[in-house]
Amino acid sequence: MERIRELNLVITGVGGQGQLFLSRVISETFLRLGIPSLVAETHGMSQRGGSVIVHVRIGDAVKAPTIPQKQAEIMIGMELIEAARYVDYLRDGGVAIVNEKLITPPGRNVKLKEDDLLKYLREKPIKLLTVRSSQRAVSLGIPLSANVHMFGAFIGLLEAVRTLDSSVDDVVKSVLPRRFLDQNLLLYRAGKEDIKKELNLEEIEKIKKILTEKY
Amino acid sequence: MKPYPVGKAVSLKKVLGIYSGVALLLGNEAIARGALESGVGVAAAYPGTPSSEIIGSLSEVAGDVGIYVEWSANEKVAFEFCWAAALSGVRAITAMKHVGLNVAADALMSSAYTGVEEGFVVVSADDPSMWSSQNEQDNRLYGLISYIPVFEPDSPGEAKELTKALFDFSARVKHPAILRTTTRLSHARGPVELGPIPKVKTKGSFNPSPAHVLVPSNARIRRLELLKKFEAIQKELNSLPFNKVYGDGRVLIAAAGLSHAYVSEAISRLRLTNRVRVLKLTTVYPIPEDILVKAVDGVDEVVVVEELEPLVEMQVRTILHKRDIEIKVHGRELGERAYEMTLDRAEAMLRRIFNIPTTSRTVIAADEKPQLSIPPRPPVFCPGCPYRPLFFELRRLVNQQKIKAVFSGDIGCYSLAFYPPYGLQDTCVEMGGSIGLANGFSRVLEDALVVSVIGDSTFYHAGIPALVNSIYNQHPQVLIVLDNLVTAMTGHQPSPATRVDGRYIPIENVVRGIGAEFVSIVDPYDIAGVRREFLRAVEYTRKEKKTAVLIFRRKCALVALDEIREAGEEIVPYVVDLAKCIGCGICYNFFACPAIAGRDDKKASIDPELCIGCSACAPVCPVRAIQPSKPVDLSKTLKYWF
Repeated sequence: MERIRELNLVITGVGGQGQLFLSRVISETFLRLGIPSLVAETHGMSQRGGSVIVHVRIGDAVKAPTIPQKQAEIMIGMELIEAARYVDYLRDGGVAIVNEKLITPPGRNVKLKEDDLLKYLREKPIKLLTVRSSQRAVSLGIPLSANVHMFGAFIGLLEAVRTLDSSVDDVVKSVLPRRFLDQNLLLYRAGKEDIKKELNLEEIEKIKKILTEKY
Repeated sequence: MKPYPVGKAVSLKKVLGIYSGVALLLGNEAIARGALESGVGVAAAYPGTPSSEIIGSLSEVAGDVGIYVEWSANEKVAFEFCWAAALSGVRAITAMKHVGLNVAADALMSSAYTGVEEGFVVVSADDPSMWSSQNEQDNRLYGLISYIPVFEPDSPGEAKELTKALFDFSARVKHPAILRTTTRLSHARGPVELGPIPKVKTKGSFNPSPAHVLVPSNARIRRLELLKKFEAIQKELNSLPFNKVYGDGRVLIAAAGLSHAYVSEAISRLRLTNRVRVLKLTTVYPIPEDILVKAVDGVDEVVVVEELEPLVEMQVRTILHKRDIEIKVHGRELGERAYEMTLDRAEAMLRRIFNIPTTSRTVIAADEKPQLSIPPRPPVFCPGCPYRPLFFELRRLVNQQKIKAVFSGDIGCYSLAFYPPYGLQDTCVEMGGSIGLANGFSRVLEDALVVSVIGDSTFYHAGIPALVNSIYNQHPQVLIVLDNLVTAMTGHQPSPATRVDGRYIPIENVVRGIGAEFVSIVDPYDIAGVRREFLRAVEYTRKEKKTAVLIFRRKCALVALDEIREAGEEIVPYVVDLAKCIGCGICYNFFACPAIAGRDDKKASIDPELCIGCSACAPVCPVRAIQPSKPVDLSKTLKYWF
């Protein structure tokens, strides 16, 4: 597998959506491909339905656990408000993979709609890729596994822009939890396919340039 | 190495039988693994973010390895437990959050006087930026006041190696050692090289000595011994392999603990690798004098990079001054005292020293600033949380009856009652502070009702002495004990109220034993009962001028839900009957369960993905529009809630 010098990823969402699990699956996958990573997890109070951001830093040059603003190449946004809150972690031209799911903070009379948030994200100097991970997970009967679909989308993006080792799917199989493994693999593959549908050749070249600059 | 799936559970257990290769571990798991690899015999702690996973992961493997691990009533008790083991020749580790060491500080001070027979590692997990804490306290300073050396690693991998080295070091110098981490190390997951786990020693023997009896005549001798011992320790530190000098240039960057990770990356980002010499400091108090003096040879300036207080900077200045070495020392004036280190901050310090201008790359342009107001999302009570109906009903009661009350709160999930729509925490300061402050408030406030609010774990941790005081001195407060039968906020560690094989200490036994005359136990889901009993307690306190105790008991919803799922019981979500719903918004604006949202027509809707079928919202609806989505017998699952 080709070495990675530095690839910065933020995973955002609402506490309880499985951001920690997603970060662990990603870092374990890369470890098994021979590439180190460092993950800054969020524990404690913020896990109780609060705003969550997990920093995942992949590559040989990584030493510090957190990513500064405007330095992440990729964001995996599991919820729209949280994607909007942390979008400035993305560098110009960075890629946001965002789940079209809105969870309004309870008891605060919030009037924001999905379209307001999508419009806001589209106006940022980033590439926005939307996925319907929550819907996909519900339709496969494992509603709490939207994160596995997003994991597939993330791997699909990397496959589209550069050569990921062809063994990645085998590695993924060994990393995913044994419980509901078949459904989870279906969801993972759906994520890969869904994201590839969002990309055309021209865009792939652009994204490739941004992602591999620090490789 | 053997592949293992990534699950929800802590991964220390998964790599237990693996003695080589690299695994991804959390900093805290790495420390636990280091303890196992150095033959630790006992471990004890009171949970507290960001320290909890150290003893938590050890407790998961205790049976497999044959060590003794306990969750103690508080940090002082945990510290003393481990101290006794180390005095008896058994290796011991305790871990606590920074403010936990305040609770254990009395024991910490004396432990330096007695010393130990075997390795004793005290982990202090500090929380710069206060992600889950009430203050930002730099516990490296405890080294200064206690004469116990303090060490800080810069990665999960080093955390494991350092823990091992500290057990040996502590055993060799017969002195406790403080391993200091911060949130970003404790909760960073990174590669850790695994090593073998030796056979453990869990039993020892105690040799009586005047060194263990700190009556003044002995303590005076121990004080002199301690000063001598600390001087020897200072010399010994120079030989530890973790402090390093590398690179060369006219500027020396002295980086302490995790700050080294940030600054070393900042050095390569700014292409300064050939212009600086780096002194990586793992021994943060006292810093190794000989190594520093050698490292400054030939440099023009020293830049100290550290988080929070300028402790290393002070030591560098003192040593250079003492040795008549005249070199400019930079430190705090280049950086920030408050909040955690970041790559940006480390870079900014270097930019100032080397006059490197900032680039536009990392600055957010004004026209990129949000044109959208993004609502805050503080943590909230989970769906099914027993605290929600209680605080909902108390808020309603206080509003309706215009009760002038001070709610003296405490540390736990219930601290969230500070936030809207409840607004029922007027103070929240430190463990046990609720009852303690209420003692004072109830005597000096003429016209306000004083209510203290404390959880079961916090009550057992530090609430009891304050309650003894309240009852003995007859302070007129209403004490609310929130008994959710577990230490919930930190990840469901057992409290003395947790049923373990049927064994637990009922809170009512304790409060009655102390002498409380008014004690009432209420299910917080029963909002009519909440109202009735609270008013009765207020009446008693006003009339009798004494302490009334209300125990609100129902299990943490996350624990109950796990047990219900495990038992294979069906979870039936609730739905809103839209024909009945009048769109009053009580359920989504004031009860505020995350599973309930308002629709465009103001009527309510329940998210079936989030609803756990707890039923707590049903009695809140004035027109009974909230009902189970299909007939359900709640009595079948009731036992999992108590």
